[in-house]
Formats: sequence, C-alpha cells, structure tokens
Amino acid sequence: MKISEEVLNNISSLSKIKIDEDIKPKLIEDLESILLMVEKMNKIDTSKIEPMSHPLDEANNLREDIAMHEIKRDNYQKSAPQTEDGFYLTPKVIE
Amino acid sequence: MNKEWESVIGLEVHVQLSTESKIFSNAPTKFGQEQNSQASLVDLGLPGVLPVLNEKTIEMAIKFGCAIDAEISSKAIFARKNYFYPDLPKGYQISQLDDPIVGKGKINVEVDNEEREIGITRAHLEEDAGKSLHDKYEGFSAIDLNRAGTPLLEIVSEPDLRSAKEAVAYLKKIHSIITFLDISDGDMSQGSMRCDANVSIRKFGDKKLGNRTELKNINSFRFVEKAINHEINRQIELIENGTSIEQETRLYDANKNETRSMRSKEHANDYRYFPDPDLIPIKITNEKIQEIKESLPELPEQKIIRFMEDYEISNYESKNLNSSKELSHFFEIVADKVSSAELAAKWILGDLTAILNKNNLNIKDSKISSTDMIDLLKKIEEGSLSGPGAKKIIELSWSSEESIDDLIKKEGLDEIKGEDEIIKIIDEIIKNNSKQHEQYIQGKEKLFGFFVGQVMKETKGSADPKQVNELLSKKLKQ
Repeated sequence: MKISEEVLNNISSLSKIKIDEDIKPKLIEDLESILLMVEKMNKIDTSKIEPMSHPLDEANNLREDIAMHEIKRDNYQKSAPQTEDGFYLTPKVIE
Repeated sequence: MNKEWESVIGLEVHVQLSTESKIFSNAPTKFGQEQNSQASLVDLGLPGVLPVLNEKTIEMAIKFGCAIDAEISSKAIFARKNYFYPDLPKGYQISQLDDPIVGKGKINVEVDNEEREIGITRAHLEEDAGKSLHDKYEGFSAIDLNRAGTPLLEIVSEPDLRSAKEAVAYLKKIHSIITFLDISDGDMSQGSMRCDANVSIRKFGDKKLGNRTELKNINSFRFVEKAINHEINRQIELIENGTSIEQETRLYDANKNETRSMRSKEHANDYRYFPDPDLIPIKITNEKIQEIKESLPELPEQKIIRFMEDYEISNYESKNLNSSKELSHFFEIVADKVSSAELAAKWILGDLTAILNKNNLNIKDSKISSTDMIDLLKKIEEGSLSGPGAKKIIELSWSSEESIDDLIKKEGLDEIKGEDEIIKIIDEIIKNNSKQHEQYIQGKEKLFGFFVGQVMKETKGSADPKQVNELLSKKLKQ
C-alpha cells in the first residue's frame, strides 16, 4: 500500500508531531514497509479465530470501590511547567 | 409543528455514576472540591501508572441494562479513543467501542397520553475528562482534573424520537430510571447527567434519513426542548431555501437560544480506536447478571401501578408522585401514616409541590418534613384544622423555624373546633348586622358573600369554607 504525503501530513497533524520536510521520504518508505508486513498477515485466514483484545488470557482485574484521600497535589504539580492557584496552565486552547 | 417535515432525533446521554472512587483510579469523585485535589497520578496520566477498573461501575451498568431489558454482553473490553485536548492528559479517553457492556434495549416514553417504545442502541462505560477554564488567566487555559476519570455511562438511543417534547420525555424517563436504581444522582445542574442530541429532518413518508447535526452542551430539561426545536426550525428553513444541511457539531447557546457551528471542518475526527492494552477483558457470567436482576429495586413503572392499587390514587397522581425517587418515598411515608392516601396525594402534589416549585427546590430540600405533613394531614382528617388553615401553615412554616403546632396556636387556627363554635360566631354576626340580614331575606342574595367574609374574618380563616357556607345559608334563612 502506498502512503501519500497527504496521508502522512494527516497522521502528523492527528498525533501533533511535527515532521521535517527532509525526513518525509524516508518516513513514507518506513511506513510503507510496515504496512507491507501487515498486508502479509492479513492474508492469513483468521475467519474461524475469535479476535483477542489482550494477549493475556485473563479477565476481571477489578478494584473495590474505595476512595483514598491522599492526593499530594503540591507534590504532583512540582513537575508541571506552569501552575497557578492549584490549576495547571497550558497555552490557551479554545475549540 | 410543521406538517410537511418530520424530525428524527437520537440522544446520547452521559450519566455520571455515583461511585466513591473513579473508574480507573482510587481518587475520590466528590463534586465541588478544590481544583486538582481529586486528581491522582492515574488521572494525571503520568508515565508508568496503570488503570484498574472499579468493579462497582460494572455492576451499575448491568443494573441499568437489566432495567431496560437489554442484552448484557458476556465480555466487555475497553478501547482508547485518541484525541488531544489539555483536559485529557493521557491523549486518549478510555471508552468502549466493540462489545459495549449493555447492548440493545428499550424504554417506553409517554407524550400526550400516547406511549411509544424507544430503542436503546447501547450503553457503555467510559471515563470523564477534566475541565478547562479559558477566561481565568490571560493567554492561558487553566486545567482542573478533578473530574478526569469520573465514571460515565453513555446511553445511546436509536433515532426513534420524533419531537423535542418526546426527547424531553425520554430524558426524564432515563433520569427516573437511574435515580430509582441509585446509580446516579442525575443532577443536571452539576453535570451528573448531560445530553447531546442528533437532529435531522425528512419529508413525512421518506425512509431515508437526512443529514444530521449533533447538538452539544444541553444541560437542562428545558434547554433540551428549546435547543432541539430551534435546530429543527433552522434545518427546515435552510432546506426550504434550497441549502443542504451540513453534517457537523453545533453548540447550543442558552442565553441567545441559538445553535452555532463548533468544530473546524478541515478534517473529520479520527479517533483511531484500539483495544487498551493496559486493561484486560471483563467477563460477565449469567449468574452475575441473574444476581443483579434479582436485587433490582422497584422501578418507577412498577411503582406507578402499585401506588394505584395500594393507595387507590389515580394514574395521573401516581405518575406525578413517581416523577422522582425522593417524592415517591416522601409520599409513601406520609400515606402509610394517615387514613386517606388520596388526601396525602392531593396535598403533596398540590400545595407542597407549588411551594417547592416557587422556591426552585427539590423535595429532598423541603422545609416541610414528612413528619410535618403527617401532622397537618391528621389534623385535617380530625377536623381540627381547615383546608385554608393548612395552606396557611404550609406557607408560614416555610419561612419559620417554629413547629407546626406552635404556628397553629400562634395563628389562632386551633381555636375553631367544631360546628357549634362556628354557629356561635354566625349567630353573633347576624345579630350585629341585622340590617344586612333583613336585606338578604328580602332577596338581596349578593349579601351572602358579605356574611361569609365576616365569618372567615372572625375565625381568621381557620374554618372550613364549605362548612361555613352550609351553616350560613341555613342560619340566614331563619
């Protein structure tokens, strides 16, 4: 499967990762080779196999509904670039 | 409504489940706490943390599924819905795509005495996002992640609704189911229940659906009706003017009563869902479903029928009394303690509801307790308090700290007891107004009102007007 530059730009925008012009041809090549491998796997008949959602054959790792009340906000906020009055600040984002 | 165009509406309702802790972390879920004081490392999406599912959320979702007669999935898996927004620090929301916990079900909705079945497509579990404040700091968005990770049940209906009024009735039904099940407080003003509406129109008789718009941000029952009606009219106008409807998300502005386009149309959202590798599947056994089914509390529909049978009240009264869990509970307590449940229904739905509505309060915040109500009704039944007297006491006790008994004494409403005392007062009044009495006997019947007024004044409104009328007409003719 071919990947156009348009598709690459869309992926870049969705993942919020800026891609420099000069590495685009190499990146397209890499992505195409990954897709080639996926295409190979798609040729295998899996119609009689139930898809797994997780590689571990386990289920129900559940927690009791109990709240803990030790939120160390000041501690957690130490690693944030900017905070104010307990809020995290980000560049202004309005949809 | 427009005769030519049929509106087609589907609702997505987000219900906050009333758990103690969040869906994937053990941070508390209390509303109105200091910013970021309820956000744990998992809610902040820090590297190295892992989500662990709260078992209560599964139970609550199954409860809802059983209540709407839905298929419950034997397996539930969680998926990542990827998008970037600051109030979603992980860069994805944990939600469900395939194998939602609740599958197809149905809800009966009544509008103008006509009942219709509305299909439920699915209901799935997901985590809520945080809140962004854009106006607090110049040039910045301020992020509060207290709400991040709060468990939500998203209930998706089929496009079966045909009017804004029906959409409101559907929403009210969902509200009553979740509150009777005790899985959410359903408080729309606090965002515990939120609604998005998909709206399209088509010519009556058409099978094909028109292009739809999605309305976001509708936060009260009243706004649901207004927003949808507004959108229907907007679409009719556009189509009749030869413009086509663009499939888009629109935001409802309650202040201006209008909807406006919300998302940039550059590219459609592409959430790139995939199963979350951090969470292993949930298996739900038939035994578990059976166990939950058997422990379901009485639901509004069953309660409406039982109230009509047990308390001999009308279908209308029973429906209104079961419009909320608290009201239904209040009525039951009162009705069980007085001789006439019908009287209890009349007063609770009448004067008590009126004063609650006037003060914009819910029955759970009523200043008149069920004990007060029992007290009042018993006095009415005994004949020691008149209807107008009770009405007065309800109004007075609203703004007073004094007990019902003290208020009755203070207002002198306890003085008039029986017929004898009223007769005594009537005799006195006739004696003091002999001129008017004579005119009345000579045919000036209008004066009857004058005498009623005198008696009511003398008894300070504590006498039963019906009784006064009967006694007066007898006495005045003598």
